Amino acid sequence: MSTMSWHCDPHLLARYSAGALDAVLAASVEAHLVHCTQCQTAMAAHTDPDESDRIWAGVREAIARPVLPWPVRLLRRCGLNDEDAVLLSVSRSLRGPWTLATVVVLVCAVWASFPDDPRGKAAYLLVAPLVPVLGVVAAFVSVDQTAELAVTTPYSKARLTLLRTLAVIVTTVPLVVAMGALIPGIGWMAVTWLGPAFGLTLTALVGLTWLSAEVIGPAVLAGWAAVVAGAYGHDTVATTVAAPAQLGYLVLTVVTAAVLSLRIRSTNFPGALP
Amino acid sequence: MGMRSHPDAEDAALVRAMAAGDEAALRVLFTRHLPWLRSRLARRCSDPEIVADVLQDTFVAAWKGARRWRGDGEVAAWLWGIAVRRLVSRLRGRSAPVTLPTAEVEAADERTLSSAEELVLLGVEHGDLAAALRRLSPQLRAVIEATVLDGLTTREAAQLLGLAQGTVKGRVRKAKAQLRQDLISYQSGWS
Ligand SMILES: [Zn+2]
Repeated sequence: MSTMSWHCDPHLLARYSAGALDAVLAASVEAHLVHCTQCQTAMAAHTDPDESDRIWAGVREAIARPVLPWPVRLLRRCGLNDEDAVLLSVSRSLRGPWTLATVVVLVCAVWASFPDDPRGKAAYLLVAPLVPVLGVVAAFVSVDQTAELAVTTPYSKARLTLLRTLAVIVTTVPLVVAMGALIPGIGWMAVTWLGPAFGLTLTALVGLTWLSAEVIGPAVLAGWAAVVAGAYGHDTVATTVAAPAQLGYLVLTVVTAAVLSLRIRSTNFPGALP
Repeated sequence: MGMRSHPDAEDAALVRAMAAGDEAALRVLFTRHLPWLRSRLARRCSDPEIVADVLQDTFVAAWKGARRWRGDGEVAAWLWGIAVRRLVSRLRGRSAPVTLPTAEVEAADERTLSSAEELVLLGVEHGDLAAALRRLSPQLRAVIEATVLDGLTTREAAQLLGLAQGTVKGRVRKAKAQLRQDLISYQSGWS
């Protein structure tokens, strides 16, 4: 505002930028600076041009970058680094599992909400924990695509798989929980399926360190289907997510996580060898 | 839009040009506002790398948000609003503040002091509010600065200062009571 009669003198601005003003005076300078183009411009004398250029280069790079898919942006907010974010965003496999999960879980959740039909709850318990598992398996299969490997180093496949796993969990788990919570009649099942989901996902990941995705996917699916079908046969579907079973999933999760971390550190993880 | 040939363009015109995708307009805005934003952030965070990151994020956000800028109020205030919130979210989860604004670094030269205070501080023409603020302890002044001057919510101020929300609320209450006591004869509107 050129109509202002008073301006910060250069000495005052110099002391302000050096952090040499007391809190109240500094606040006064700040209150003036926000309204005064002339003093804003004068502050340029107290800025390192090299640093400004570096920041500008960063700005330009950031605005030239394509917009990342939202799961990747969410992971970035949780601390995912830029390199991994770019790696993840070039993959085409993120949208597939999410769309699949939306449709299948919605159907099962609606079915499960019919109070007189135990098959609905069984179907929900069958499908919900398998959504992240199948998402991970699908992500793993697509890692083989050469188009994506072109941007990675030979040993980054293990890392890419784990990143994909994370992305799949970030996209599918909140969705399934939200659907379960929104549709009446599902109750605690909207959350309790997470126990088997984590156990099964980690089991699948451990299995993938030995066998191919084409074997592990159907195997985990069949295993979980057998558990749910067995419980359904005895009219006790709810026990598959009851407290004793949850303890079992917890043990399974801890053990498989430990095995997985050992396997990743060894060279056995698929893709670990060039 | 040819902003390169109009380095003196008004901020509002620059933001409108940015909304239309004019990167040269962003460059002019960046050159004009980076220095004071940098100094103002540096007074709230002593880590220059964090400050540089926050500045970068701020201008990226301004570029992306230019379309949503409503055109009411000043662009500089809008930029500061973005910058200080980016800083808060950057500092989230830290248990200790990176820095607290330092108090009484230097006994201010009385002549400069009065001219600055007279015209500037919170739009209050008399120097008594400044004097009252100066009598606050550094802790109380820091919460007043974050909530009143920076316009942060209690939650954001707590994140910026690395304090519990309850602590911030308590200190704001205490600071206001103390200021009210100090300014009682001026009938100032602190409530
Ligand atoms: Zn000025």
